[in-house]
Amino acid sequence: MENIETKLREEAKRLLLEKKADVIIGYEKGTLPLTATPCFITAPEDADKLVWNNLCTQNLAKFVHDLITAHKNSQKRVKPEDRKKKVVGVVARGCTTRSLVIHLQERQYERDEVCIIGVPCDGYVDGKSLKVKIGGADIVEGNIDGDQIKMKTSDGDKTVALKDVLAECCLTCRFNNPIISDVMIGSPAPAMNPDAEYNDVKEYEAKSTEERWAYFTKEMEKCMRCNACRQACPSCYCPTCFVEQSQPQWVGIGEDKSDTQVFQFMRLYHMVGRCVDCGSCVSVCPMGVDLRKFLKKIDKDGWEMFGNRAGSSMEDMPPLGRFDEHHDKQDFIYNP
Amino acid sequence: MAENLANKDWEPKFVAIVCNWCTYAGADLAGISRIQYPTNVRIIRVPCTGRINPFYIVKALQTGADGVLVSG
Amino acid sequence: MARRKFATLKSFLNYIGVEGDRTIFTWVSASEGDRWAQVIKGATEKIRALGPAKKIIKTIG
Repeated sequence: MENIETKLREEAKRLLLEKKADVIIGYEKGTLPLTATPCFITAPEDADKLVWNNLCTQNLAKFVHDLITAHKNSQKRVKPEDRKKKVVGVVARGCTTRSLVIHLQERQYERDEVCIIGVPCDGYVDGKSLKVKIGGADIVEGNIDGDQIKMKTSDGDKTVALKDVLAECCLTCRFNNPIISDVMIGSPAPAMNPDAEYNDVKEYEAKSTEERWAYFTKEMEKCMRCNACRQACPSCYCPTCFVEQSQPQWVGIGEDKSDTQVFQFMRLYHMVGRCVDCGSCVSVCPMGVDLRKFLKKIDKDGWEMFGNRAGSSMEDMPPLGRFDEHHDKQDFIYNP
Repeated sequence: MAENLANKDWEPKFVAIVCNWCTYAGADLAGISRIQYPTNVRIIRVPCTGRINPFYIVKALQTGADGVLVSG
Repeated sequence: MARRKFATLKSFLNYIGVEGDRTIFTWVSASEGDRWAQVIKGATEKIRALGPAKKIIKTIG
């Protein structure tokens, strides 16, 4: 890991010095112990702030889209021949590159507007399960040592194995190495356990309709509509989200349960063929709603019905944008 | 349609979202040919089935429809 | 395209626990008045069998 970090810093510095990227989005050490937070680096000497470890959680593709959109909007009133191009560099693991592929497929920006520094990934730590593991104690200080996390907490010293607190989505990750990259740092990481990825979904599907509905309502009652999941999701980039639209008003803004259910349902449904299972929404959710159970089903449907894994290759088209006459199933169509 | 819940003589009420060129014309033909069919359906005409936002279906269910039929 | 949207929507509605039979997709062409009547009859029976909808319904204003 140390090795990757030094190489990453060198590479970021080089890209900034050679003007191949105007800004590099990466992770820096967080203000709280055992966290990493996204950072934007424009000066080559700041590149030493960059870190790469198992605490880097957020999917940075979101910020790539934000920066490029903001830049394009700022250029709107400039004459076309005077417009400047901005290249955004990004430190990207497998799921981040999948999000970038989705942006590129959806024509959000051109391939040469983004410079991808690929890094291998062996999973990130889920803060919530770490907190549970140490019995809810406050972490005062901590560091990752090999495959152990050593912490000083308000309850005394504690050591936790890294593999016990990895996020769910990382344990069954299929694409933990970058799909596309301009610069690749380090050697590819070993595969995780992708065969088990749909086990949860299959178990849930086997339950009765009433049980499924009970679980859905229970989870959605936790939701307080803070929209953190939408803000964190790299695929949620509409200039006006359906939640905020008032003409027509799609979703009520009151406290009615069904409004929350419909909001969550539609946000989840918008992820058909677009969810890369990066776990950003799950990790930012302050109420701990089990969003992944539902998102994974959408992923499974995309794979089983259309043979598409979101953002897994540059040649693919978005699954809802095409149609396969010979292979698409007809069984959902009603015939009297 | 909330009164449906309390009503003993409950009849289903559902929304049919239909394409102007195919099913709407088909339903028109059914009317012209005087074919009898149940009156539980409320028809919404759209220019094309591709015009239907999945949200229409969810919204219909949310506002109390017992079912949604989409026909192209 | 549209049909892919509906296939996934139906499957996902069913997954969260709203009965899959509440959403029905079919084809009726402009010359099939008879088929339209059949579809409505069939759909009414299907929905009647499920009973009144209780899920995901808005209760306040």
